[in-house]
Amino acid sequence: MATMHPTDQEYVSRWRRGDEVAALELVRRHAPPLGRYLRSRGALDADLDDLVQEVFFRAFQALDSWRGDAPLRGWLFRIAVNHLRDQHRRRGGRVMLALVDDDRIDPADPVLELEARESFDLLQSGMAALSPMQREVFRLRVEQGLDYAEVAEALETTTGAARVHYHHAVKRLKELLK
Amino acid sequence: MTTSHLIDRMPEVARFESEWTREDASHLAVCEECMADWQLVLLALRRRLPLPDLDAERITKTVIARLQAHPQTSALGMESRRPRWWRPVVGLAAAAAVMLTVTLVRSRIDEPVVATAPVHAATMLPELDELLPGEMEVLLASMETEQASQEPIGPLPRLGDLTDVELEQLLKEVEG
Repeated sequence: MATMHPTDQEYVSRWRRGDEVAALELVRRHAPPLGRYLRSRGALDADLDDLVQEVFFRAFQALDSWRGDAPLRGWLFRIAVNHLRDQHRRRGGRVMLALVDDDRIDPADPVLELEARESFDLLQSGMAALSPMQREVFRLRVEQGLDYAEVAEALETTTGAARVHYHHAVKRLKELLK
Repeated sequence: MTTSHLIDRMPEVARFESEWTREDASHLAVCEECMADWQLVLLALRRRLPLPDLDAERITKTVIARLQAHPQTSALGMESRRPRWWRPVVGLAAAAAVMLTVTLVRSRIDEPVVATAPVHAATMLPELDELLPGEMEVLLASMETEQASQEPIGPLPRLGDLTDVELEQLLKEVEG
């Protein structure tokens, strides 16, 4: 028999009533994707716990402002995006560079590795040529696995607009990679 | 099935969370454009970092402790259980403040008026106070445009104003 997992709304309701286990479940469910996103934006592994903690602190503090019908994951990503923006401003506009994980390319096959590196480099420069919004939508949709509603919530736009940006991004990247 | 429908589904299929229908698969097999889109999504997905191993219990404990240390928080888990002893004190303080204000105002009514001048709150850029609301909007819009070119994530306001039909039309134009 399949086990039904409580929804985010159910956990949030329980947490509102003081159930700390519900808070833990929310963290368990959403901390890893948030951590991956922050890491992809250049956060160091050593800082991840603190950064994710800050996102949840802000989220739980402002839980009243979360619309229950909006996807919680998208809302948490919005807080993460805003937190990154704050950090960006505090650093005077200096951008953290995303780290490249060499383990993802098979070093056992030098030819494949070279091709993969070339493709990654092309994609990297293609991503840099996108508008900031297209780039972020593409990242959230493909790399982070958010659906359009979650992307829209994260980037404070509409689902339709997120979809259009994603399609623009795919089209532009495809042209740049040709 | 449309090309845009196929592109919409690519990230889920690439992550093995969904599968192509027979119709999708046959289209993909013959359509070079869609195949190029699919290759792009697969390549981008390979860039994806693995999920980090985070200590959820420690994060939760720290967050709850921080929330408890901030009494002004609306952090909901704690609010219902926090003792409300301070509420009467706050009520008394508010009543005292009202009485003090009334007394001061009454005493000032009897005093001769020496001068009246509008009082502005101190601002970092006083000239901004001179702007009309419309001018302020224009200024904010221009600041946002400028900021968009500097920040890693820029604002996206305009597409959000379009209706679903208009967005669909725009998508068709994008797809060609």
